[in-house]
Amino acid sequence: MEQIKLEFYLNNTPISIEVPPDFMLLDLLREKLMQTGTKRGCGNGECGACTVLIDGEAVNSCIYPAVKVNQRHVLTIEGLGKEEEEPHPLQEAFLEEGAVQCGFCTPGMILSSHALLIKNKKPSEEDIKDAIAGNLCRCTGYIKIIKAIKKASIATQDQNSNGYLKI
Amino acid sequence: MFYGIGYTGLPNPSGANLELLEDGTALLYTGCADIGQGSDTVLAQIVSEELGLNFNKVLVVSADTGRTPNSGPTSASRQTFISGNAALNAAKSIRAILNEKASALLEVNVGDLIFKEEKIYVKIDPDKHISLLEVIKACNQDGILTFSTGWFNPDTTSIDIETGEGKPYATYAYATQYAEVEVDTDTGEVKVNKLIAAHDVGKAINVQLVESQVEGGCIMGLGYALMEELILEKGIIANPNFKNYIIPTAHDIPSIISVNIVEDLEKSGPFGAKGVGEPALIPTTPAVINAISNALGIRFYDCPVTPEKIINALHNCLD
Amino acid sequence: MSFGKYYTPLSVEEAIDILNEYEGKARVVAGGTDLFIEDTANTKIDAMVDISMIKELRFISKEDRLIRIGALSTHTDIADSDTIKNECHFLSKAASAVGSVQIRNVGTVGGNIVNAQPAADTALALLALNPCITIVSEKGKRNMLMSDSYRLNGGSLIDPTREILLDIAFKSMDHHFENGAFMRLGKRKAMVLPVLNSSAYMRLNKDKSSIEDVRIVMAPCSRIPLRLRNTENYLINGGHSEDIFIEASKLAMDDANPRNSCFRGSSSYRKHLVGVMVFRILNQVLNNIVNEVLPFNGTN
Repeated sequence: MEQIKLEFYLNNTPISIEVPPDFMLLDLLREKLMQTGTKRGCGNGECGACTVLIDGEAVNSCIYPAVKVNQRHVLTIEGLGKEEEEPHPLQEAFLEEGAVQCGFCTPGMILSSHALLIKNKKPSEEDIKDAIAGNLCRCTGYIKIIKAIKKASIATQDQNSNGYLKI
Repeated sequence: MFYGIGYTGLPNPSGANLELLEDGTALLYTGCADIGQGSDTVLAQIVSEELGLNFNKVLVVSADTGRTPNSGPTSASRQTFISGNAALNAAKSIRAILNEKASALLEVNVGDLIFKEEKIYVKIDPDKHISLLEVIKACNQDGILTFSTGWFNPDTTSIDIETGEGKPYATYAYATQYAEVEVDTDTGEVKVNKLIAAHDVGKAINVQLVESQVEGGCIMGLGYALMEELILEKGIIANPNFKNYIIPTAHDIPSIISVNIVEDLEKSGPFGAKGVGEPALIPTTPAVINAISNALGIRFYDCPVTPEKIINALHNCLD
Repeated sequence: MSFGKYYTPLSVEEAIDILNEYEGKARVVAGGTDLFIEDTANTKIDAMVDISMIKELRFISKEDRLIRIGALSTHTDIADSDTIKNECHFLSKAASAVGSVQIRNVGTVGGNIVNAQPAADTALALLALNPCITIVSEKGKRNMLMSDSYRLNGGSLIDPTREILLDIAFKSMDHHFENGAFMRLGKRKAMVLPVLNSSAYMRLNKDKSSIEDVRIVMAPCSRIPLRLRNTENYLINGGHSEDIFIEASKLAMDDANPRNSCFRGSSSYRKHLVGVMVFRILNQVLNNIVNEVLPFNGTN
């Protein structure tokens, strides 16, 4: 099968790579680029565990052809915060509020929240629920997740959205 | 609701190895698998509490068949109670070693000492104390290792075949949950407005983690009550996917959910703790369904209580 | 879905050329949220022609009294558009109800129409507005009513291996006399296939005493979104009292006649819901007209 050349930004780093035409973005991230923070939950766009941001908007990478990210900015959980020294306010808030249990939904959940806070600096509880309605969680019942997002929204109110995002 | 903690009438022991290093770090080896419920944290808290260590000084190595002892599975709401006791027993053994050395160094009786903030104090004269590090060093200089193992198995019996009697569990968790619902009697849709949960967990070693369990269990129970249905067609699951096996999303949670922790200390539990994993989930489904029954004056005996079942029940009533 | 080639043309002409080259063995894709899922896992196509880079097809405009939506507008574009919120708020509401944020950001209104799922929210709301759609192929452009683009036994008359949907256009409403509504019933509040979906449009006469025109669309009760024609005919030139709406809802139950469904419920239950929904949606549209309800505020 003919490979397609792809050039895009992954967490601000330029990537040049060849992929089969029917590769989904999730496969590219996990299998070829070894960015395993993004999870495969259902493979069908139903659970949100595979959520990444493309030019600042949340998408289900399991049903998103890799070739569609050409010339675009992709943000995965690995691109948020600087590991343990400088976690993103969302990551900090999730930890402080106990919003992480098994952790499987967490990367997708945080990215959906990040997309929300880029667009809406003062989200209401309804706005938050809308933003994460596409991210299923079985462990937490969403309550501490919503609390964490509220906390992070207050912490990030004065910040600009990540400068590198092309929106 | 009351719910037995641990395997039913069968042994299910747990073991732990604990090593206190000369820099004051405690290494806890436990087979207990933390699947997100927070057992690594809780076991570290138990050890740090018993030895007066800073929580950050307890490192937990868990669920590694190459390095950790058997602690049984993370199921049956058992780990805080059983692996907690195993860790506590290991910590108690080390405490006894340190106690003996410290009492000799401070020239007091063994029973007169308390362990707090990385020091060992004389109870009636707190100005008389010695640092934990000094005591560990003194032990090592005498060739004594501050290392121990601990294990625990709940006190149960199997069932008596003749009488049906026995002691299936060493302890029980108790809970009451309350649900307020609104039913649209034209469409059958149910909205859960309020969920209040009160759980006797013996002792909440970590309040946030107990709340997390109850909250997660409540929403799972809400799903079981209202929307989760495994559909079988000739023995084959017709909805093996999230599209048609529906679980609650963030939009389905009640606007008010309140978790209340009750602490009726369990004598045989670590610092009085019992368990909460399964108890978190069980009362919610009947609470929600009972609330629907209370609203409509109709009883439902299977779940989920879908909008269609409600409409059918209402129509049957009118007939 | 597996495919050997993936094209990303930058113009409609380029896209049509590629489709013709493949003589029916390639197909158009935009967001792909209906295509790259397990339902189509065993489908093999020679090539995908991804038109999402064709910028001229992603727009929402109002000129004089004509509102036009480019086929590549995503559900998020429509949900967030001030033009749509101000002109036909129920369309914004419908677009907000599609799937999840992740799906709405990628899925397009064009895909919603061409994939012809009976209960596609955005398409359903559009049908109440009776829009005209423009399609292009190597034979040139053609226009048709959106309602005529559905095959009776399911699917779309638009051939995604040869044709591209360009835009959807409808007349703006005079909110003194006209308005619409959208409603949805599901097994949970979000991200679920609807048990029942409905959209409605109504126009009252000048003194608001009678109904001049009404369109009621209901799904899923057949393989395509269903216009409840008998119910509409009953209502036209009549009043809008509660008794009339009750009678209309009874007629609607026979008009719709949904089947037994493993996931959505029994025929009798769904029929009952049709009646409830029609009664409620007629009241809501009427209320919207009488109160001249405008921008979508998240709940209306």
